Amino acid sequence: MSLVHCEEVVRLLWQYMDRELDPATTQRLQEHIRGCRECGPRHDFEARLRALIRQKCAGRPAPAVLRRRVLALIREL
Amino acid sequence: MESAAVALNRSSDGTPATREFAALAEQHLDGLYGVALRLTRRKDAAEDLVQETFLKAWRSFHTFQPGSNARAWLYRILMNAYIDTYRKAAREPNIVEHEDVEEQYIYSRVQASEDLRRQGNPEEEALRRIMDADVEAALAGLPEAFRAPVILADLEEFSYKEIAQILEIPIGTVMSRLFRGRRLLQRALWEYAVQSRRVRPEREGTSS
Repeated sequence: MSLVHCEEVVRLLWQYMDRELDPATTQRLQEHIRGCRECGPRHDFEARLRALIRQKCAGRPAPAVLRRRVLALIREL
Repeated sequence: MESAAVALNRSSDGTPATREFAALAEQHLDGLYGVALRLTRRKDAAEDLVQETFLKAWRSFHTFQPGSNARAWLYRILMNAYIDTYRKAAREPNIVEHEDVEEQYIYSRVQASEDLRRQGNPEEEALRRIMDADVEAALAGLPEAFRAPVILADLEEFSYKEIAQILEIPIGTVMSRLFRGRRLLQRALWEYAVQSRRVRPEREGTSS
């Protein structure tokens, strides 16, 4: 089993968080991130930042007028 | 407000296809509107875009395979409608090679910032400042080609493969644009966080 270097985490962190890495790489990174004093905080910060962005950009429901328009449109199909 | 699906199920003129379509529309209306709003940045334009999306979706609904990814299918139609109407140039983005910034830009800046270090908990302080930032405006300010992948990945949680289908670009291009978009967004937010430090004491001074 190969070691993970911190530079690899920096490079692959977003793919890791996106759950887009293969299972073996995911596991290697996960183990490293949990135990590394550099990479653990980096990962946690990135996760909180992403949650913050999502929260601040949360979608609003479609306006009722649009819902009515779409409904009317489908009834005419 | 009764749903389109309920209304059509009751009506005699709804065919099985229109009822199925109505259920799909009902399910994805809010999500599509949210993305339309982020793309067009205008309420009326977003509403028109969603309506256009459903018209186009209905026209090709007979080719839609039941059980396949309806959400990605609808988002692809929305993206195409958007590009056709607003941004014909978006398919070939003019990607200027600016001086690029590193991955996890904010985190790296936080580690290097003496100003934030003095706050005791630099990560918390940075997040607190970003909390005050107009994140929506920062996202809206991203160039077109980078904004769409960020919206689809970070707000809508589509996979790279789905984004590739929706935007009709290769997965490698999805990744490079998504990461670039995230870096640009982080840089914009970081600039806000740095500036807000300079502005805040003056504001507090005038209000007290």
